[in-house]
Amino acid sequence: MKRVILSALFLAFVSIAVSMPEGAAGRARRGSQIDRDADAVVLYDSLAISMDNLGYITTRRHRAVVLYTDNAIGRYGDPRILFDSRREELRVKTARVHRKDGATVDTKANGINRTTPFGLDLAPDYAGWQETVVTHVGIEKGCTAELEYEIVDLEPRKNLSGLQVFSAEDPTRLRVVVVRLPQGQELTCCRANGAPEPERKGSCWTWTVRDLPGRTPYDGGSWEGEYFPSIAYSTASSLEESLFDAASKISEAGVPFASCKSAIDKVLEGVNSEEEKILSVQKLSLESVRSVRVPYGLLSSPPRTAQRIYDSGYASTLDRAVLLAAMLRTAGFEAEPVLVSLGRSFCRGAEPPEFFGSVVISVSSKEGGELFLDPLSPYSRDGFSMLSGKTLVRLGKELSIFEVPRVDPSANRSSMTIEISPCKDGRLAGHGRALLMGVFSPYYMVRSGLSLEKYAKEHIENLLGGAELKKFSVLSLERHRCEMEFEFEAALSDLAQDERAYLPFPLPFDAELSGIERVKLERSYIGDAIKLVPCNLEVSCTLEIPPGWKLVSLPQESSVKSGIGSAAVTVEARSDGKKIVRSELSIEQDIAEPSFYADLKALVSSFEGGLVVLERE
Amino acid sequence: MTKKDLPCTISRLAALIAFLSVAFSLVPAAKAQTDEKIRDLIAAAGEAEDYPGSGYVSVLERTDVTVEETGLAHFRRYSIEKILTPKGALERSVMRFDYDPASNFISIERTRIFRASGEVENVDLSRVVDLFQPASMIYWGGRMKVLELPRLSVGDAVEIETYKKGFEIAYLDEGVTVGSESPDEERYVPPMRGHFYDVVHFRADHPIKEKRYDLHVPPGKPIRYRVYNGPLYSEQRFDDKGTHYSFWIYDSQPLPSEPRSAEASDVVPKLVVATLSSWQEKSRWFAAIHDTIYNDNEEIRQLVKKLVSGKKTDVEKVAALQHWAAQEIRYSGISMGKGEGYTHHPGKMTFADRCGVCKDKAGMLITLMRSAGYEAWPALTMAGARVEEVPADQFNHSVVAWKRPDGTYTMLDPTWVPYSTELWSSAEQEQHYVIGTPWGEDLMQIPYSPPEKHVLKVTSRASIDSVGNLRGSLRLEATNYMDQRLRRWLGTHKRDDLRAYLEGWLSAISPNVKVEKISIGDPLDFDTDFKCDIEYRVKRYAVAGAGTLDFASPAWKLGFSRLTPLLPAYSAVELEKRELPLFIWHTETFSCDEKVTLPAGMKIRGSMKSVSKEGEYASFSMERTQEGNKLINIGKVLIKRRTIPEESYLQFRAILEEAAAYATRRVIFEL
Repeated sequence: MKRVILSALFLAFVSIAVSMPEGAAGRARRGSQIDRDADAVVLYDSLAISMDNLGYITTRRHRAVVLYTDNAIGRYGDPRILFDSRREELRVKTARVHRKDGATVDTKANGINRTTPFGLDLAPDYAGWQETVVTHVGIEKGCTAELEYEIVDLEPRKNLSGLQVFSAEDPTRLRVVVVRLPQGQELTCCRANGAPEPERKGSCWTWTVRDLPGRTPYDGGSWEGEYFPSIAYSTASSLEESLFDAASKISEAGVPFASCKSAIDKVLEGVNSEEEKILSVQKLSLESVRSVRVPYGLLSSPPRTAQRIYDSGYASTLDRAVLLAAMLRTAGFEAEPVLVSLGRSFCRGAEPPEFFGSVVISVSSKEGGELFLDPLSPYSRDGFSMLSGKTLVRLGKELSIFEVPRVDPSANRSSMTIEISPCKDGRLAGHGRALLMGVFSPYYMVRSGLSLEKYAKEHIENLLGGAELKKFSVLSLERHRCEMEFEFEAALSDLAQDERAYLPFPLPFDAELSGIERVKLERSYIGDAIKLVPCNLEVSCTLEIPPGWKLVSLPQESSVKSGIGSAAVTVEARSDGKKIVRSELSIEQDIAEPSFYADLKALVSSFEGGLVVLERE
Repeated sequence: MTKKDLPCTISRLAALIAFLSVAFSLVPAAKAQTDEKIRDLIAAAGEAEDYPGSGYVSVLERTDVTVEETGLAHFRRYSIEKILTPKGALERSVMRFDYDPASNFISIERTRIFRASGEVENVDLSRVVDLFQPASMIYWGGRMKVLELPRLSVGDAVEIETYKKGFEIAYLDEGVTVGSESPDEERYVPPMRGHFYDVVHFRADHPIKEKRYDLHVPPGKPIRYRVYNGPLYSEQRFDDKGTHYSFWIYDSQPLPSEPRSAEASDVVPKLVVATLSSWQEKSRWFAAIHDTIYNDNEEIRQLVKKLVSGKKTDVEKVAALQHWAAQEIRYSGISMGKGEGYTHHPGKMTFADRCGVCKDKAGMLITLMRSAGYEAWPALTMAGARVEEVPADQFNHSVVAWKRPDGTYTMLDPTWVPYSTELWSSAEQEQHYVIGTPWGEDLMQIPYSPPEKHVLKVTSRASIDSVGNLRGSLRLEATNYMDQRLRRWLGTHKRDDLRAYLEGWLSAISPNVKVEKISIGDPLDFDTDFKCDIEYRVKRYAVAGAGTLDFASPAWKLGFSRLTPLLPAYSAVELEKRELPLFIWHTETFSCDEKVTLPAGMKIRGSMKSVSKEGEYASFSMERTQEGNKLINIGKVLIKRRTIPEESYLQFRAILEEAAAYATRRVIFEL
């Protein structure tokens, strides 16, 4: 019944839109200020999921979009529908274009073409996932493209669950999510960021959202459900029930297997500490298969067995985790897969499987305690700090859920002090010290095979626009703390007589992961949040002006404070003629939502940049 | 393109034959080899240290082609690949064999793994899976057979034998039996019945110890062939079954991976072979298969009438028709069944579908033009690479030829001219083409289009105050091909991101730029010059010292930056040297006209000089002067050719680097 009503609503909308002189374009333009410059306006977008008494799920999507520009036609002209052909059947019900003159043009059979998703062509085990491309025909600017399809289960499921974020790339007039269950079955629903409560009628739950603004997504490193209205729903009554299938399949798949034993024994030869053994096995696991970027969710397909993953030579993220767990177990370690949420949880123990976007492997060593290994990349930073703010579920004998606490900014510190003075041949000599704490400590990078000297060289050679590392020594290298001293030289003398020397004020020794690299200073607005790691970044530079040169300019003093953190640049003129410039940035939040982008930009702008300019006397 | 780029000739090849006819007898016929001899070949192929950067080496690649009288070709391929590194083992863990069920058939006949340990393992061919190919923009139902191999290790070698029959141009038909061989051989006979062609490359992205191509044609079926881009060993024999040709190469080095390099077909040793005697023959065939498909209907006639209404000249009318085909027929290819892949869709079909690939857009334009009374013919071209004179099908693109009353042709390309004021995109200059006409046309070439025709001009007016704050306006405008680029960049970008897109461009001036106002013309108004005006400011843009200011030209920075696409050639010279020609598609002039107002009394420090440099592939001239309190930057950078031979790359790069150094140098002003 609900479907009939929604369809009628849609048809009414379209029929009004196409019958008016200006068509839907006119309505859309008048309807909302935010639509004015849109490439497309989504009139209606519904997702209806229903489960029958036997547990078969049907997912129906129905969408109508007015296309104004070539950009929109490019994005909506050939929609791709992903489905798992081994356990689902796709039925395209309607693929139609409503033209401005009121005529409709239906897509014929030759416009519905099945393809294998890009990236799965060399991964046949995953190629049951297929993409059907629907080519809309008769498209013209100002037309409305309507698509309706359903994906029908070929086998029953225990639970129905889902996660929806009410964000949109184009202004959306009406977005509807409907869940329909057999009589008497209950649905656990959660919501966040202002998402509506569902309207319930019997065993049918409906969420309706109107007038979503459009925005071009920006990769700020955060999951959009952290700041856009979001809902989650599940028929499972508990986390255990929700994740039972996934957990048991992951557990069964990741058992030790014999064919990797000799390779493991080889890499462990001569390795003494447990921590190094773990990292060696992780490296071997990474090198044992190639990565396949699958187009479906982490838990949308069960994992293959570790043996099969190893034999095939390729793996999805989930399969990589299974392989790593199995190899660690083969090497004698207790390895435990841990699901990692997409973002901060709003479900309080009722998280659906769709809420988990990645997986790490927890393993403990005598020396380093518990490590959280990323199955996709070498262990390079303290894994636990990297998971700050996420919800984790341990897939041990019993499931356990916990939230990783937010990082204390003082725990993560990247501090560099350098002194620059003239040396012979018109060069500048520098010596400095770097203190890297928390996530900035390169300890695990080194344990995973990176040369610390190479790491230091890469960072030091960027100083002053191009420096040469002369000497380097490590004062300490610990899991959460690394201190090093270094000496370098930079040239001034190859400038022409009338040229000035422009020395970029040094950036922090290592600010990777802080999130500031995601800030584009020139951009006036970003529609998505930026993920940050609370931290302190500090640079102090003491400069002695070389003989025969005079100072033209130093970085500007500044001080900025906001809800995100604070930044300051100070300049001190010492009595011996030396100048000391200090630049500090303190990030206190782990996310900068779009409305705080200007604040974050102001901090970074104040902290970064600036030149030391010298010229000959 | 210079003469030096032209391929080696048969005479060079012939010079090798005397010596090689001896060598040929020594060539191992791999298929007949014993396992022991195969092992010897694998052992002799070398190890990872012999092939730095390669994960595997092709020990032997052999293709044996038998052509029937009908043109139906049987391809038997045999290869042995040796794994050199663990990465190579993963790279080759799954093999993919593409086919089109309607026009060709492929079977994996045998696969064995010669293990480094000495064992020989037969691969179970029931593991082969038959899947749809990934596809984007062209949806013609292509399929692939995929074979996952048992886990490979360094030192293992994979032997594969395949059999394929048919031809490579796709079309779809009803009732195709997927994956299996059709009993109906007609399906595999090429559309140009009785004829065969092939283009075979003898260098790839991996090292090859030996590659052979053997061709058997029936008695009395002549072939034309020629070897390009380097020598190959060759032999010709004949017996009562026909004539047998062999071509081979030893120790072919991997093709370097260089961005923006010329197409492989322009640089690797290749064999081009065809049974056609001339391009005229191809031309007549191409016209004949399209004989009846460009009919119009009342709707099309009404559209044509509307489009040409008010246009005075034939060029204006044809331009209007082409604009419609270019803008309103979007690029997305669906199959019409038989004939797909090598024939245009009928104009009425494309008109209804409003979509198609290049050939369908071309067919639409021909239909519109014929409806308007113009003589238009379908044509073939190769976008981005040469077409050799041997009349083998070397085309990847279909276009339109407009025959004028004086007998000359004007080439039109509705696929490449959306948002363009050009009738023919100058990114396709110097391309070869063949027009399909009933009387037959030879291979022809689009003329060179000099950079002076494709100007992107930045007009900059700015002022800088005494503390270095910059406030400025920019106007971007262009001609011909660069006008199209500008219209497309700004006309097809997502509207709500357009500001951010332009802010990204202006970050070349300074990351601290603040864009205050943007005004963009209508990219689809071809009667009006297209412009983009931007007002912006940058706090403390200039370094302000005691009585001094210094800064670099904002306008020149827009050109010499990898943050903007305005002078793409500059972004193409990042490599210090190249082994392959650089291919940048089009010629260009980047022109700068800038005036920066300074605080009163400030004078440039030192002398001002103009600079210029002439090169065969690029040149520049720049002038920096001061008039009162205004700094004036005027200049041009010319990109003169779209292909830069590898031996001229260093000079080309040096000219651009020198231009960039001058243009973006900070200039000091003082009171």
